[in-house]
Amino acid sequence: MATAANPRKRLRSVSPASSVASGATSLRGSTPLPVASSAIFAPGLFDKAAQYHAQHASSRPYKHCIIDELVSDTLLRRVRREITTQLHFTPKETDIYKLHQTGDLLNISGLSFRDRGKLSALRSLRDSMYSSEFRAFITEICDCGPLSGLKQDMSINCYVKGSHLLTHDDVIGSRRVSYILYLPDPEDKDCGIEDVHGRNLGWDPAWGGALRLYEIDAKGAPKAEWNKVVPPAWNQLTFFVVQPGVSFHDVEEVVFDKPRLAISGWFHLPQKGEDGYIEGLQESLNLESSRAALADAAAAAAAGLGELPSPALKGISNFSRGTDSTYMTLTQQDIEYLSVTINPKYLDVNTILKSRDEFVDLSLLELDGVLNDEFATKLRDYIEDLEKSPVPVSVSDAAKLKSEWRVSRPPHKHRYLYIEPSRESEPSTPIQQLAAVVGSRQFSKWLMSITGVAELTHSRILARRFRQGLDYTLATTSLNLVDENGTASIDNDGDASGGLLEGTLCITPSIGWDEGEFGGYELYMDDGATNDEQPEQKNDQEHRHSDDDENDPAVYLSGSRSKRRKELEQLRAEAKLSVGDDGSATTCEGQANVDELFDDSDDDEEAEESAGDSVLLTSQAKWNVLTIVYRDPGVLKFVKYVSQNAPGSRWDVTGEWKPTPTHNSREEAAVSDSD
Amino acid sequence: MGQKNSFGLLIYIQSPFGRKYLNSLSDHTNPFHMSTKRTGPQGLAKSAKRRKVANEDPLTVEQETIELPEDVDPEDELGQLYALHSGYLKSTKESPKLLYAIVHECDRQLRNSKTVLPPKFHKVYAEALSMLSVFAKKKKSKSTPVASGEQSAASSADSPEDFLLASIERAQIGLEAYPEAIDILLVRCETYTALVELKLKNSAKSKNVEGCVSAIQNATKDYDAALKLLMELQQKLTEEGKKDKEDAKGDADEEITPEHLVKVLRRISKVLETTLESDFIAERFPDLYTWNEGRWAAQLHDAPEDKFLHRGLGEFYLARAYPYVATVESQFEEDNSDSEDVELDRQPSSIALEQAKQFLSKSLKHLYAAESEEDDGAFLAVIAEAQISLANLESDEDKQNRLYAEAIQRLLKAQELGAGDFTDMINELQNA
Repeated sequence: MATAANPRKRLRSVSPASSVASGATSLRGSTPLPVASSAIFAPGLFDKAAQYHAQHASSRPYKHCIIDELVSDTLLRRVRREITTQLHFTPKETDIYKLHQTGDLLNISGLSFRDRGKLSALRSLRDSMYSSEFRAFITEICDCGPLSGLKQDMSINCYVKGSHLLTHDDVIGSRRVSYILYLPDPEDKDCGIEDVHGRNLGWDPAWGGALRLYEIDAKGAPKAEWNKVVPPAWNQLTFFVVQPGVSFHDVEEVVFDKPRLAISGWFHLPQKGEDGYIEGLQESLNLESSRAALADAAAAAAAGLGELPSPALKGISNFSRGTDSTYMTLTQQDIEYLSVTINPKYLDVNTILKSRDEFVDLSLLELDGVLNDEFATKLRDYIEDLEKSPVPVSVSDAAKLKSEWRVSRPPHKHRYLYIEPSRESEPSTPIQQLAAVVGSRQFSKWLMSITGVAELTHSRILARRFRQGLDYTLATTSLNLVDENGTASIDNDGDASGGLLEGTLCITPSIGWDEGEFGGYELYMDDGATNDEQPEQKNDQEHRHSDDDENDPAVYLSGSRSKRRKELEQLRAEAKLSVGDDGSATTCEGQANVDELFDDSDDDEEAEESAGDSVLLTSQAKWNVLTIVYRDPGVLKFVKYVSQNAPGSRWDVTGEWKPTPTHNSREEAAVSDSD
Repeated sequence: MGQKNSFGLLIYIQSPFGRKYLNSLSDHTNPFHMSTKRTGPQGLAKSAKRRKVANEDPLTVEQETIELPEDVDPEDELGQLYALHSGYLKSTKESPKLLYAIVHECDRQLRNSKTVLPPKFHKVYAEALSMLSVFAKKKKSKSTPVASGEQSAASSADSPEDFLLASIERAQIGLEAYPEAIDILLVRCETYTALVELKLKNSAKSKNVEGCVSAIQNATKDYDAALKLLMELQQKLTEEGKKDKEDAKGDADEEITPEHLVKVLRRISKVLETTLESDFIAERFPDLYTWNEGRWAAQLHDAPEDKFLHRGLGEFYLARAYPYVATVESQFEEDNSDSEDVELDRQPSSIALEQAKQFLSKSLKHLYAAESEEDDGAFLAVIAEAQISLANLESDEDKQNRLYAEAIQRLLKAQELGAGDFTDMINELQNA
């Protein structure tokens, strides 16, 4: 240090009550050290651009690049030390991920001198990664055009046991290149994995947490399973150009009790005022991407690569419309048919009338023990036997095992095994039998009786199995459902109600799901658009670019609305993970410190309150419980990813029934007349 | 099952609109028959919203009688308003009710008045709005700030910032009518300062530190304008004698004094000290700090023995030293801890060291001058901190030891006075 001073005593600051003292006593802070990029990055990194360019060009399933040693080992260790001693991580969970995350590292600039000093290495790393030199390096490797130095988008994620991130393509706003820099513990003695120089890579691939890339069958149609696995490794940077409908990836669940620490983020398109900025480019790319996604989906469907199972609702057969009273009336014969599987309690007229009143009021019924004992026992034995048998993991496995179960797709919407009830052949297994009953006209009539919904015209029934470590559905509204021709939105009829009657009969025999820790729960939430007016019809692509997605690095494409997703993530943020000493320095009132900056607690409280309002229903995986919901247009629904550590698969039979278009509008008119 | 299909029941079905509609099942002779006229379920989200609304408590209207002093003329509406305002200032200020009453009354008089309202009216209105910000909800609503005096500020502004902006706007309207109203200028000056305090408080998340600059600049302009007017007023009073005093003051019944201005200056100074924690303002707007230093110095020039002024300037210099101290300290730490980081370039710190020492020395000069027997422990701890900070940078060992020794004495006394537990610090100083 170039100074004449040679302080003999280095003293801790005191914390007097005086407000000024907090400024006066902050002697341990530091300004960020200006560090040259050349000192930050690994020696010779920039000389290898051509080599990485070749690696990128030849990579599959889509172009990506892996740099084994990005920055100076010394610096990265300092970064890791700062992260683990100075920052708080907030647990976050939505339909698509479960992880611990800090705030946006852009906020470092807003810190005080003192607090910024605590993160000086992190700031140096961030500034270097967004330096013109490094951005040019990335551009050269990827041929992706200029990148913004102004718009920096970086956060720190910590995946612990059970954390995961499901399939998405990262397309939001102006994102151009996605990257992830891994910081597992390079001193972890449990990790026996070393690089060619004998250095500990800090992470054993058996612990999970790998980045997995998906091949596509067609644009917008990723295969159900990944085909490239990139396990974390100390100081390894992986990046790829964000490509709509192509760059699908996920992060495997961490299955071992180790923290998988990483810095991830995006390089964005040049912003206004920067070199390479093109007026309207982002908007046109977004629009193009939305249109392309629709075209891609249509092309994939035409090529037989569309969504499985089909989202189309089919006309309910054998209903003789018109004046025939049996059309809407539950007859004695119907009751006898249903009583083979359904608990007699729920076929009793008093129960039905009571339930109907409840449903009319709440639009929700939860019927416990809906299957009668005899059938329930038979079904349970059958499912428990299946749990003990080999589980088909992939589409090819299912074929090899000659399983009756099919694998759903695409994985950026859902993945599970399913059976559709056959109208041609007799059901051969208890689960097929149950699906057939739920899909029967008798069951529809019983639903009408018990819910008060007047007429049901279309339906879709599925028996589903959500396998551990694999399966989920991501949040969608019912607006993406189509009619049986597969072309038009089911709600394009101008109906003021436009809702769906939905029922899920959960038949999960294993226990231990009650806390939701292993996922597998079905959740409904209000997207905020539900009001007395018909929500604006939007397709998934439009949802993607609406709201504040662009400003939320944690929001990914899944066909849901971002606002509620953000609330959802906060709802489940029940506790904070402190990963180290929070520092004891005092701060002036009105000035945030490191902990406040990266601690969302205030926001959490507000968001939790808000999310508490917006979550309408959470149904944990259970045995023999039927949940019936009248789902308003725009209400989001998903089944949470089932953890590798779950006690078993989640099993259910689920159905969607479309009421007549005039169902509620006609009734509301009647009410209005009565007024 | 054996259920009969004919019950002839009358049932009530709860409508989502809160009414009950009689529905006769006997018409259809089947309980399972679904009439299309029956009100069906409305949907999960709508039902949840309806229940939420139903569960909310009806609005309770609390009425309170506010008593005015007996000497207030019941026919003098302005007098009543001022009495309300004065009553609030003398109260414990724990409830916003009186402030709402003042704003409501201001609104009413503004609508009904057929004459030009006096400057004090605008001052009272602006000040009440500004003080209401303390009670406003933290969360900012989407409502727009008050755009004109015709609107009810209390009902349309409901975040702290909304109230402050409404106050500034009200003061602006008053100043357009009375450009030389010192009291309105000072209310606006303090409101700008309060706005900066609010922004700084939220700056970590909103990253809006730069948004503070214009508000600080506005506060300094108002302060200077008020100071100039006050000096002119004092000059005028001196020259013309007391007979014109009432004319000069207009209808303001509280005289603005230099002490009042010093209190406002101290508040601005505290805000500027806080901004020194972020380099954005400190580096780009050095004039603000020069301004502050100049105003303190000017006040001290007029009252060189004033301990309050010395304390204010001393604390300001201490804050000014802080960024330089932090820079030097960080490099001390780097030298001592990360010897392996030799490849990292370092910024020469000699300039920072000199600046730090200079500001700390200036600070101590004024803090010593402000010290008195009646000081609270917290102020003694502040002086001790300045001494320790300077000692840490001192290369002369004798000076350094002397500063540490004096700091120990002050910390011991501060501890006795209950300002905190400094035992560890004192032990460290004594044993090092």
